[in-house]
Amino acid sequence: MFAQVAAPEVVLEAKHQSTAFLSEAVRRAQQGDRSAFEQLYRDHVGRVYALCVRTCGNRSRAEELTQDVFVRTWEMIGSFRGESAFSSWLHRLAVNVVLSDYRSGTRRTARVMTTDDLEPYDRSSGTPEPGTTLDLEEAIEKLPSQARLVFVLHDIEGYKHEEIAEQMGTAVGTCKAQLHRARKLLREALEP
Amino acid sequence: MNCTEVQLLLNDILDGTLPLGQQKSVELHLKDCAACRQELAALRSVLDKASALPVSIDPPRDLWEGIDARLGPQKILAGPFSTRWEPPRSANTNLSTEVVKSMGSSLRIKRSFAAAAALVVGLGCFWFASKSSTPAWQVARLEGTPRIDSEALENTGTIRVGEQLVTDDGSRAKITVGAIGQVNVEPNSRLRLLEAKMTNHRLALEQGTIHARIWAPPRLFFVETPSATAIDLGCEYLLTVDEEGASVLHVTSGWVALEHGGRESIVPSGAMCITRPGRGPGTPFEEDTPEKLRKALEQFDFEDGGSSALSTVMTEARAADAMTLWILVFRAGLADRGKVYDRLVALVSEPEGVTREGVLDGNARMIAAWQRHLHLDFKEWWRVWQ
Repeated sequence: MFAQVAAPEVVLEAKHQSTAFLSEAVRRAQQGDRSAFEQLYRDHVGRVYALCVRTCGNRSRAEELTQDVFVRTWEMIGSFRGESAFSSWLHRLAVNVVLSDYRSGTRRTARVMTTDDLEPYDRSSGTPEPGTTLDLEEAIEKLPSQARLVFVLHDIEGYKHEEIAEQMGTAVGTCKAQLHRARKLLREALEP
Repeated sequence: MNCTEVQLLLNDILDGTLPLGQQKSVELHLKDCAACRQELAALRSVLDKASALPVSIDPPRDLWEGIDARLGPQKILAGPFSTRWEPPRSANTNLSTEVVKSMGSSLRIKRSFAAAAALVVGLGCFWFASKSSTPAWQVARLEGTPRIDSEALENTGTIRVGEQLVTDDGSRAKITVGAIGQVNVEPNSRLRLLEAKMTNHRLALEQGTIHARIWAPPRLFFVETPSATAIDLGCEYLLTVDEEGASVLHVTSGWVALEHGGRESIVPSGAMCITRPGRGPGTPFEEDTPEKLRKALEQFDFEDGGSSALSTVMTEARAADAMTLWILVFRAGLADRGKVYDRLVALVSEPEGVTREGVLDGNARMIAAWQRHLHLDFKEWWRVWQ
């Protein structure tokens, strides 16, 4: 009865494959080849944008974050040693960028409120109205920011509470509470 | 188990983290409770849908041009660099090694001592079991040497129902409140654990300061002080009790209710409230409320300041003090209520469809409109939060 729901598929680290993951495009990009890096961008932008748009809930901001991720990737690609799939290395980097953006956003609002307790006061945040059937993507977009971030990282990307809490600078219990909150709001939004 | 208890565990069921000891009773409840079964199925459906989402979404436009324009020099790193999140090293690693070593040496105990050892272990287990049957919370030392009853807390320990935790001017401690939150106990504090049940987590703060962070539905965590009971309605607050039993509450996130003798003040995030022995909670005010207004409010709440104190409050109030004025509309004497309302409207525009007469007559719809207007609708907030 209590079988664990299968976590969404995530790209797992694959250390044993060593440098096999250093594809030609990655090698060339590491040597400063922009056309090779553009190829990497085209191969991976969909997954990075999906992460950004789901976690930040704002399409134009997601575009900016996606650009930030690839600029950062360009800067750091020399450190990629092929110890994992490039896609999973890039994904981790993207998550770091997203969380960094979240933390700086939290600091900006901390003067006014603590973390995302701002949302209940902010009618423009558009929390899903009960009784309105929404597409799941839309419903995720309308979640309060902290709840949305935790839901996407835990229930879609497959990260653990301990990892998320550490990176968000919050307690594991807070992370769990936000996940529960997100699931409950989504349930209400998806059921008329 | 009842519905409230089971609802708290639904996510543990979904995540496969429900402790074995609770599975049977949860299963029994679910077997007989259609509402909880339905809730569980609905939450499971959300997870099913989430797992079916596409891993890739094309951005609405090509972002390459903007990226290309920003590409600068690449960083050359001398050492290995990882973007992996490294889980924090567990302090238990060394402990486990020590335990294993200790087990190894105990295996070397001579046979002649085995019977005596077994007896000691048996008695120890009995003692431990009897102690464990008393509800307890984990306590960790943060600084100095906190004491639980007369025993010094070295690093971690437990506080049981009836026991007292005391910190001196150089010590601090952290209490893990069951599975619902944590309380940091600041220096020079004295508190006692009164209840440690799933639906009733209750402390008595006799003196000092606590910083509570609670992530549970409302009214599961209570702190009794000599002048009021603080009831957690979700989130985070700081509560200080002085030597005379008066307290100051500072809510930093969510809401907290203060109750005493049928008088209740609900305090939102960013606001404060004072309580006095025998008088209960005063009127909540914003943390940046000017000192003159605070003094007048104290006179009104605790020193029978009446119309004179109220007049000062109204004079000193800013638009940012609308919450305080709104509450005073209902706490002021009949002769003053209209004046307080007029001052409120002079500072903050009246919500649409609301009239002075309607509010003063207690029209529920109009009062609710004001609550929403001032973001003081606790029920609405909770609906969003939960």
